[in-house]
Amino acid sequence: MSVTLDPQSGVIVLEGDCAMEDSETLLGLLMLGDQPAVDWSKCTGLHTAVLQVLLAARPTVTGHPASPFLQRHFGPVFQAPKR
Amino acid sequence: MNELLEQFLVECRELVQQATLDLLAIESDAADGARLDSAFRSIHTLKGGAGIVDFPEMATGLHAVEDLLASARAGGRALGVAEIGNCLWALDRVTAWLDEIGRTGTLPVEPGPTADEMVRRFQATGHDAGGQDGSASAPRDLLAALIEASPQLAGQYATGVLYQPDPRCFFRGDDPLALFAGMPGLLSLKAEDVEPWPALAELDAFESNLRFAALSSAAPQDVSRYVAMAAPEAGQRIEIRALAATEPPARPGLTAMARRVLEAQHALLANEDVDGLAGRVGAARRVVMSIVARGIGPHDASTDRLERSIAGEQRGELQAVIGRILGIEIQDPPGADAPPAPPTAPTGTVAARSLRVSVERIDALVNLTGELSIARNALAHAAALARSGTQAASLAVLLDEQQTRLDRLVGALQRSVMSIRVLPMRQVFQRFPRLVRDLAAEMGKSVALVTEGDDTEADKTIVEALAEPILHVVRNAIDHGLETAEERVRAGKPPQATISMRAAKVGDSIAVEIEDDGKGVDLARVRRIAAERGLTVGAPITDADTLELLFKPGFSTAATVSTISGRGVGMDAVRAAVEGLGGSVGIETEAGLGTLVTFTLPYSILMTPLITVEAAGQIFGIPLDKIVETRRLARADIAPVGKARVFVHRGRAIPLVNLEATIGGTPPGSQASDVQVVVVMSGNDMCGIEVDRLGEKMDILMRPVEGVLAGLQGIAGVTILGDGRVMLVLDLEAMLG
Amino acid sequence: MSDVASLRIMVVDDAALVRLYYRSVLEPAGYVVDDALNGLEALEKLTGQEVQLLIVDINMPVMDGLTFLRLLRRRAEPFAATPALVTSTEAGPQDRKAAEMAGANFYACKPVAAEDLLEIASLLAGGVGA
Repeated sequence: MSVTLDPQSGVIVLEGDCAMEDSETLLGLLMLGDQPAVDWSKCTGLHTAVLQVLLAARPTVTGHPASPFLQRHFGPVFQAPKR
Repeated sequence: MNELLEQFLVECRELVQQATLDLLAIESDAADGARLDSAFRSIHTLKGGAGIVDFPEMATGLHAVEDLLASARAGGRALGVAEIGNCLWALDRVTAWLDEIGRTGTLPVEPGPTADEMVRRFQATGHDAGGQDGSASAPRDLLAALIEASPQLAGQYATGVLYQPDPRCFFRGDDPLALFAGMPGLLSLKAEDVEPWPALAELDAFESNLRFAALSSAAPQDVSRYVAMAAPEAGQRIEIRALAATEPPARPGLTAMARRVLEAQHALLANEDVDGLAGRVGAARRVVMSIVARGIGPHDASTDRLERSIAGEQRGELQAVIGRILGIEIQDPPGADAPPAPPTAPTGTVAARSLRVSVERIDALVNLTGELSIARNALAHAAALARSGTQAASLAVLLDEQQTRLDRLVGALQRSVMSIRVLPMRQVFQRFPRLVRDLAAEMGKSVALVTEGDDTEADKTIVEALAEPILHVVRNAIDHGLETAEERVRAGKPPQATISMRAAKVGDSIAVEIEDDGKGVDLARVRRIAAERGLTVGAPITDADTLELLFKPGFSTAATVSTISGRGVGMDAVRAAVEGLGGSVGIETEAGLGTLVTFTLPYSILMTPLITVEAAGQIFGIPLDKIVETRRLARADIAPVGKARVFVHRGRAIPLVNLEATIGGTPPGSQASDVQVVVVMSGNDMCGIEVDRLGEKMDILMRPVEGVLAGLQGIAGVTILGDGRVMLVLDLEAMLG
Repeated sequence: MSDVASLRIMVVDDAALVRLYYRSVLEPAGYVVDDALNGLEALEKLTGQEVQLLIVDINMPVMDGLTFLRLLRRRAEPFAATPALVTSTEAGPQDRKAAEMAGANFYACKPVAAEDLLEIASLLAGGVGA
């Protein structure tokens, strides 16, 4: 599973390649928390559906994704101050 | 025609064939998903081939076909009869293009209108269930916003891309992000919501509410080519716009492609816990060094240092170096705890392409090669024994043994090689479902086709040569032999007629039967027409002889020359073609019950390679393996010796033969200053053959000499040339003996 | 930079049209082009002569391109470290990823446009290219 909740820190961890099905898991986890945080530093790829959930929910995103493509085009989007 | 086009033709014809069969199968069983997949793959590969030979109109047209199949595949929807008809129509257009390429050796001159019509037809089917298209104005703003937000990219981008995916695209397996990740020259990418985001609880994670804008340094046509290949389903939802560069893009630094390649190396090094890590790191290092060696702008000054550092780096460090070159910071490069996703096995198998020789047959050959090397080693051993003075008697035993072994192996090798030239009759039969369907429709008749013995094998030449004769017989049957449904019902037959094609191996021959359950040949009519045309004289003839009349040149029972059998050759040509292959053709018929045509052909044929020559107004064939050389000879160098003539060839006096004399004529008194001579050798005997002209190399099937030529000395056999002339093949053993 | 004339590229693809195409693009640019019809043949050929770049199709009979690459990367240097471009017509994210997992240095969808092919070849193998 590429989307997990770290029970200690309460951070949602995106790991490896996140597939379309992971978008629902991520959405479910994001709705659980109050101020959810997502760590994508171990993420090597995102399906569009997963990206869409991140864009819709705008959680606090930590770390730089392990994919240069994601970091280049979407790193700044999530590091920018929230609207 | 260039080699690329030639290969394109061969592959495309196979793919068209495969797609046609698949579509027909879908027509009779709409639920056949495997056939739909196969048809889709064939069309996709056809489109790819069109891209390779740079035939964009064909690619565009097929793209429309592919769209339809893709939507059916994704939606689990059955194709309608009209849609299948459209697909078959499109394949016909492709075949027409292929034919034109075959004729002219170049791409069609004006393919545009046809391609446009293809696209129109498939748009008209209205398969696009995508709902309303995103209004064009809003996304264009997104692109403008992206350009505005990217002043540092000014002068680098040549193309803008706007893409609002179909909301249901995820279900089709589309991943727009992946499309952009692979886009050539991608510089910048922006995504935004189409409709304002709803509350999370109302968000449908599987429905796309995104639109994208991207800037690329690649040319618009390259981007659109990429999109056409990578996202055939997305096609019309993607807008590709040429953007004027505001300053020359010739700034030093990484090209977009170099950036993508470096990113790929970065990704390749992301995993530590993989098989063959050293090989991966080594390969990535070579690539990075190759790019660094080209000069990468800002790092020019320190290139040497960089190169040195790369040379020694291990995975993590090398990845960090790439990150620095790319200008991205990497925190905690993911280590061994990032489990690699299991590689997805590529799905789909190559259907009809390329592998015509079964692996078993290749294996058999490989085994034989092994055994042959053993035999060779044994011979080497015998040679060594002979050198060391072993007695002749014991050597003879050894050599006898090896000869027996070699005989067996050579025999097996010959059989194996011949078996590679073997094809199943399916190769021919499979063209007919489509043909019968079309011909029957054209004639307003309903016909079922039944084939049997599709797996019956025969020599490639035989199988391929049978296609035309069978086609002719089938055309005849549909045109003349079969009744309309009403006529059939009146005659107490089922309304749908049946044509059966059967192939079977009979001894050393194969028999192919084409049977229809039509009204049979009207023998009285045949007699009457034959009499009218002066093909028969006087006395009444038997039924069997009457049927023979069908094979007479120029005979046709068709009252009107229809489009179907009118363009075909006559049955006389069918017989000539079959006999040219050493076979025979027969016909049986029974009034009201049907007609049966039987072809009997040898299972394998041995072709003789030869060179044709002209002499005394006649064409002769000289077996290639007997020819030593061809030369011109000054007439002065020919010396008469008694009745014969000789000349000196490489220090040896050999006779000069005149072919006119050989076939019983008088040598003409040609007085040209020199003569063309073919020097041949048989056993130890040589002679020169005087000819007027050298022809071409060809492989022919030799037939025994019959009729008036049978008594001729020095003729091994005859063959009929493509233009109907008879060629005599010289029997050099007899001539020289 | 290496002399392009000494750079060898091996095309591993079962489709004759594709092999011809690569040859027709790469040879005029000065590369020496060798080919193999499937992964097994490529592995066999890659014991004597080293090449500077492999262009590998995914779907092939006998041995597919990804299996070939995985086996190659486990071999001894220098063959294990041969840069490889993987291509396939099934353009999907899963192929790109599978190619990377098998040890490909780059992935491109077929057909690769001539100018792209030359640029990729020059980036992966060196030489002048595009």
